[in-house]
Amino acid sequence: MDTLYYLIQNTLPVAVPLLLVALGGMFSERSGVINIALEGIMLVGAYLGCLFVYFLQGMGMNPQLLLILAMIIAAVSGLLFSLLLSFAAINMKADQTITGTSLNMMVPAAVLLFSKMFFNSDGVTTSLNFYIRNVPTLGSIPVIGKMFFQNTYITVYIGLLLLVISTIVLYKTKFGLRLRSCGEHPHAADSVGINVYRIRYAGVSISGVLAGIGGFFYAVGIMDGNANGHTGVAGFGFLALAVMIFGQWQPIKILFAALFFAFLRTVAYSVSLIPFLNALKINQTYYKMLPYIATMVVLAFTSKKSRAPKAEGIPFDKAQR
Amino acid sequence: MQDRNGSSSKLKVKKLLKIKGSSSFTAALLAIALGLIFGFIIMLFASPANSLPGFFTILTGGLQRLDDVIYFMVPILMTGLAVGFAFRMGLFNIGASGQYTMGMFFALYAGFMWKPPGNLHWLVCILAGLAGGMLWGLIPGIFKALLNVNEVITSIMFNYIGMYLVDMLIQSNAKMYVPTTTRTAYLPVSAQLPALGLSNSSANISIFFAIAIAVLLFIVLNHTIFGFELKATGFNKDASTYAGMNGKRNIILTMMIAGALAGLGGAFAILAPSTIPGSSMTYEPINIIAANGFNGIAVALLGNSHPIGIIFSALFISYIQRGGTLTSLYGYKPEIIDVVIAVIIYFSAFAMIMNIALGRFLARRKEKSAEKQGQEMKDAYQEVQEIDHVKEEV
Repeated sequence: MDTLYYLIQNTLPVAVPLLLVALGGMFSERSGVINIALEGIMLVGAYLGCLFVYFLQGMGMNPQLLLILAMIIAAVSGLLFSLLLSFAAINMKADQTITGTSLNMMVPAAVLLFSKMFFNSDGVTTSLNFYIRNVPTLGSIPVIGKMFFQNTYITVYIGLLLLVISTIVLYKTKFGLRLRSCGEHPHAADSVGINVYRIRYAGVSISGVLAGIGGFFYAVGIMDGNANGHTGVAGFGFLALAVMIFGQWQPIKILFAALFFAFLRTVAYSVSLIPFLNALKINQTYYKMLPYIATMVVLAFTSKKSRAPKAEGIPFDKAQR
Repeated sequence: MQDRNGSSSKLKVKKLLKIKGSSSFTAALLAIALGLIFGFIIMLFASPANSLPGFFTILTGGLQRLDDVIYFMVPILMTGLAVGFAFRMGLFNIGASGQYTMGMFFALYAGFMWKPPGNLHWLVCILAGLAGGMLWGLIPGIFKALLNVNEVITSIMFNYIGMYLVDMLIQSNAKMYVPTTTRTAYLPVSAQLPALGLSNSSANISIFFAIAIAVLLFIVLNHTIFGFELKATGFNKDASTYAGMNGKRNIILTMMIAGALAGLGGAFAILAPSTIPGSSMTYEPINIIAANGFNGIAVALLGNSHPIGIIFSALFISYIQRGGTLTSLYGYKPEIIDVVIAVIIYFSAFAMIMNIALGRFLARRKEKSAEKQGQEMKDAYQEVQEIDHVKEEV
């Protein structure tokens, strides 16, 4: 039972970045823009968020408050960085995959460059502890308290809140309907007076915000408040794309897909603590490959009947019919 | 006077836009220029005092180390071909990195574990690298052709799987791995590529192989049925299927060839006898995706996915990389070049459009200045003449 508690407590902080970034990818793709730059945007959010924490950690601020402030920094920086993708993909009608790849290459290089020049290291290391050992009152509920309110991070609750907001925005608002229409049939949307360019800018910007936050939460929940240019976010942006496809571009399904991947990863990194797996004596690297292999298996089964937005990846050209 | 100048430069722009090859060439130049300007701005921001000599080093530093430029050019030329070749078919082979790593591992394995008679050990190692890369290209090809999984996601996943797998296989092989140095032993001399014989130089025979392969690919693309089908599928998938081309077989074949090219790149990189310690003949498993695979994307895009263009873009990228390493003399870090390369890719993705827009803008401005002088009639007359002139030339 303790192993189960341990796994759940450790899965959630891993699942939240995946969930948020996949939701970001969903907003972008549902508006019709493939956002492969999620990996880069995550690292932007992670690095600048951590940098903010680094400069303010000595001021004796409440760690949780500082975390939320840094989250806002990460969100804004993610948004600004995603504008580069929007500009290329929407205004210049460039190939979205190539642009995304170039942004992914740019970030680790820039992070390494500045860290090496100004800190003489590969990244930024903070010394603040965001860990919550026990949430007051809620943590003492039997079973549930132990699963969800002990040894956790505030990021888990913020992540779930953002999931609820995203679902409402996508399905229950005028904006959500317009966004979805632009990803399915932009010319139809255009014909009824929707500004496709503006909606797509909004879609990519939301994905920038969510990926920035997701990146910072990755740094907090998985990297212990550090970010560096060498390991970056270890392919989480790409995993999030797989989570999004597995979740069929729908928020609730994305949640379960994220939990599935996060669970696999948690198992992979805690093999030595699980007596059953430890007894098998399999090289630990196999477990590290597991999330990526699982992605391939899942995609092999889900891609044939994929429900991808129809117009994703195709630049919108008003003159085209 | 001014009017005449205007119309002649307008003619030049028109001519440039007329010729497709030169238009993609100017687009590449535009992207490079913007990338370098951006790099200069970063340098200015990071350390204003050193920015001018630093930037000058980027531009000219490669001249001092031409043999290193050649040495580092080979791997990115091969991964560039791997990306560019698949691109001609409309496939984005972002997995060149994993294929490169696999090729490297297979070549290492052949170098340490096999002892073929005669002195062709290195050739066997190269072929092993080719096979390794081919295997890692085959998998995304099968996923794409038979299961309709996007090759971008597949090859990214296989970058990670390949990287972990190779690191694990190397660390668990006692004959290859030396735990005290946390890297493999150095390859035996029989497995190393013959050097070019220049003193104190890392340039080796692989450059000739790489250029020959690029030329071979050019012939395959332009003078074979397979090359034609490949390009046709890249232009319009449905039309080529309608014309009876076997799309699925071609996808798998293309990815296999692309993988083999990247694998050869890995083999050439690891088998090279180098004077720069640690840069080849030994591999350090540190769980990092090979950067040369991603540089291949830049090379392919700059070369417009054309095999001959890729030779020159690989030369260029390698050249500014050498210059970038030398900027450490002025307190900069070599990563500056990675930023510049990323910016170049970013701009090259829409450089063609910018190129056309720039041409239009220049033409329009010339027209406006002419109008101001009240010479519309003359201008129109000259335009007609120009068009006739162009027609004649064409």
